[in-house]
Amino acid sequence: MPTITLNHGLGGKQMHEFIKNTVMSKLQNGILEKMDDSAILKNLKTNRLAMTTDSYVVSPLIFPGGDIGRLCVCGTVNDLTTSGAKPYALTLAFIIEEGMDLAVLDTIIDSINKTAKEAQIQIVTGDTKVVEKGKGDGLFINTSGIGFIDDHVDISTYNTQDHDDILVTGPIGNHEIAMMKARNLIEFDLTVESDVRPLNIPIENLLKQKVLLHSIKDPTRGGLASALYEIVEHSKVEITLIEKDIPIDNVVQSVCSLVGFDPLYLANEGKFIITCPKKSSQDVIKAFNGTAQIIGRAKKSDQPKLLMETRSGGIRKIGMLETMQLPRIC
Amino acid sequence: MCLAVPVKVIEILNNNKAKVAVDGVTLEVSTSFTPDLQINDYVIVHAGFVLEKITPEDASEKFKLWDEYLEKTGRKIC
Amino acid sequence: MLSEYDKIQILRDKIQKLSRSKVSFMEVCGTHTMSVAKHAIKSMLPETINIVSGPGCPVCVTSQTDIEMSLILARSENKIICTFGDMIKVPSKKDSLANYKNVKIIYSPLDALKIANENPDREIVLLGIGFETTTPLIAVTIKTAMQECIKNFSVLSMHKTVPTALKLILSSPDISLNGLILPGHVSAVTGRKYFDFIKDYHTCGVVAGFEALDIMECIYLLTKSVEENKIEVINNYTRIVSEEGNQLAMQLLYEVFEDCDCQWRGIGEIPNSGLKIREKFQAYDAKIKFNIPVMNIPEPKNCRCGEILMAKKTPPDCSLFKNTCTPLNPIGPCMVSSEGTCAAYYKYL
Repeated sequence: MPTITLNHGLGGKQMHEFIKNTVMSKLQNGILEKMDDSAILKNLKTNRLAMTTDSYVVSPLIFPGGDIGRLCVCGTVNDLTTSGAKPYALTLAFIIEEGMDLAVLDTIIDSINKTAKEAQIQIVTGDTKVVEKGKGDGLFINTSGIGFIDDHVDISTYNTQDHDDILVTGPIGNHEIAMMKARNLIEFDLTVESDVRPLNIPIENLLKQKVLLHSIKDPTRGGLASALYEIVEHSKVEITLIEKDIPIDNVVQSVCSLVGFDPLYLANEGKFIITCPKKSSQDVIKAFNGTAQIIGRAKKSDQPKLLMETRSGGIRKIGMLETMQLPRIC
Repeated sequence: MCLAVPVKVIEILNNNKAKVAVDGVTLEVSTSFTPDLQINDYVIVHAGFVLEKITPEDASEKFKLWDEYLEKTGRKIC
Repeated sequence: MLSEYDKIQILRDKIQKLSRSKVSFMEVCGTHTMSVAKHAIKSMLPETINIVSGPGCPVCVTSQTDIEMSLILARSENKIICTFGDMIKVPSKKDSLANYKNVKIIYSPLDALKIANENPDREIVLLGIGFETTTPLIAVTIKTAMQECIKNFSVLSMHKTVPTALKLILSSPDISLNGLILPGHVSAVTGRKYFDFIKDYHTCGVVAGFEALDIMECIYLLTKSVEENKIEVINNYTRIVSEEGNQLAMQLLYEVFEDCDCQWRGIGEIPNSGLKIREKFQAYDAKIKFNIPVMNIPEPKNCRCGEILMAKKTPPDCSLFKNTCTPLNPIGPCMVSSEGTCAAYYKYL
């Protein structure tokens, strides 16, 4: 079974061949295969450039619904999208542990390729390093990305206004439950897939139609609640969520009930929170093929808070996540 | 102290065990406290053990509470 | 058909109209603490009704000494400590189980036996916390270990029973309670009759489930009992609670365990309130197997968990609350446990 060796990291023949045969053959796009130290991007017209970076250390590398390859493209593309930018180009840097199975690496690169095409984004430059066995968790990936923000677009966590609708683009919690199952932290039998997907195209379509959006946030680590806290604090609003309107798949809800998790704090990798004036909400729902839902409303406030209107009509505060959720029984 | 969830029995296994399911989640549980379980019984599960069978509640007592209100407001129960 | 929402609004209305005197109802179960907070029950009640939290969170009432004993066991690399999630972060002298790689979180106590079989060279110790709902499960686990001749397994029993703590609270002159929201799943095991003794203290009680409707029904019934001057213990969770409970579970519990005196955090020693492993099963008693020395560790200074558990004080009365004691840096178990009174206050109020 062919594996990565330290020789692959030397910058010599083996690395060259590895990059040519494994990476370039799949990801070629006119820029990447030039293998210059810097990618030259021409004819760019923009007044605002968005730039972001993220590193991916997920384990296991391949999980139900995706893999680290899909994740590293989606994560950075979605990050750019939250500032209203159209993602343009990504960098791709691998840190590979000696002994990593080349067939697995192949699968991951295929996934990067497929996801980049789906997101309509190009990977323009990259890097490969190899570390000794025991010094890396199989594979770490860093992606940096740039995107362009059209002049008329103004999207930020500081922009949520009085009377705004709060929407989420689909059911919450699937990614974290899928990962917990993949790591054998849940012993129940269940089928849940990560929701990892790029969300830039629906947002681009909305912005092209000049639909007014105020804030976009991706509820990754810390879940819906943590992401909303950022909006609440930055925009100085009080947000009230309507419990019965928050979409959660039955299987995710059941796991949460069995081990005592609160789905509001579970990570998502293919969802956005969008705040917008009421007149934009139906356009948002249409752009996401009907899976987006209005889950609450915002109110200008000197005392920013995040509240929940429960199914029975009570009101309570939604706390900030301070520690990792632990399965409880007693 | 008592996180327990209602689930349905889908299979009886050997060695005081059963398979139960709720909304796409299946788990194996101990039936040490409920030896007479049948398939399709609804039960409550706590930390991998069946605590008790769920029996449908006697609704008539409860509905007395609602009747008074329903009479006054002219609403029907069902 | 009336929806659950409709039924709750009817109950809100009825409680509002019925409640005249100022009353205090105590919920005696950590899961009730969480449900009351999660469903925002207090926001639906009139100001005449005060809901307080009692000592129903098994991690919260675990004494400092017991926590330190768990850590002593964890420090021995040959051991694998199996525990339910909440114990992981409980601090003792700036240490906690979270710092040890040989600690595993389990969902079911039977998982500890699996781990024992997979690791024949290690000693597996299960941290036994919980009341009458969980202790029968540990009893079955110990019996199974004996039947299957699993020798590298033992239990550190920190189990307790509910009635003696309740008697202490109800007889305390500092507290004046009008009713108890009785623990639904403990009652499923023990039976409703188990709680009849509260009538001797002129307190009424209602056995309740954990959904919003269950709790609102319970509060309605308690309010009604108080206003009608009736002292009764009503079963409002008949779908799983019977008069006698699950007798098989209780038999198994007392086959393996017996009553003993026990230290409750902040409260001190309560006679006959704990459960220790009987002599017949002492090979599975971690205290005996590993010769753990008898200790008496003092609680952290200024921590008022004990008084909070007895409903004598609320979290804001504690000078450490939200100051030095937060979920990220918990001083006492009331903040660590997701069911703890302080954690629920911090998170929801």
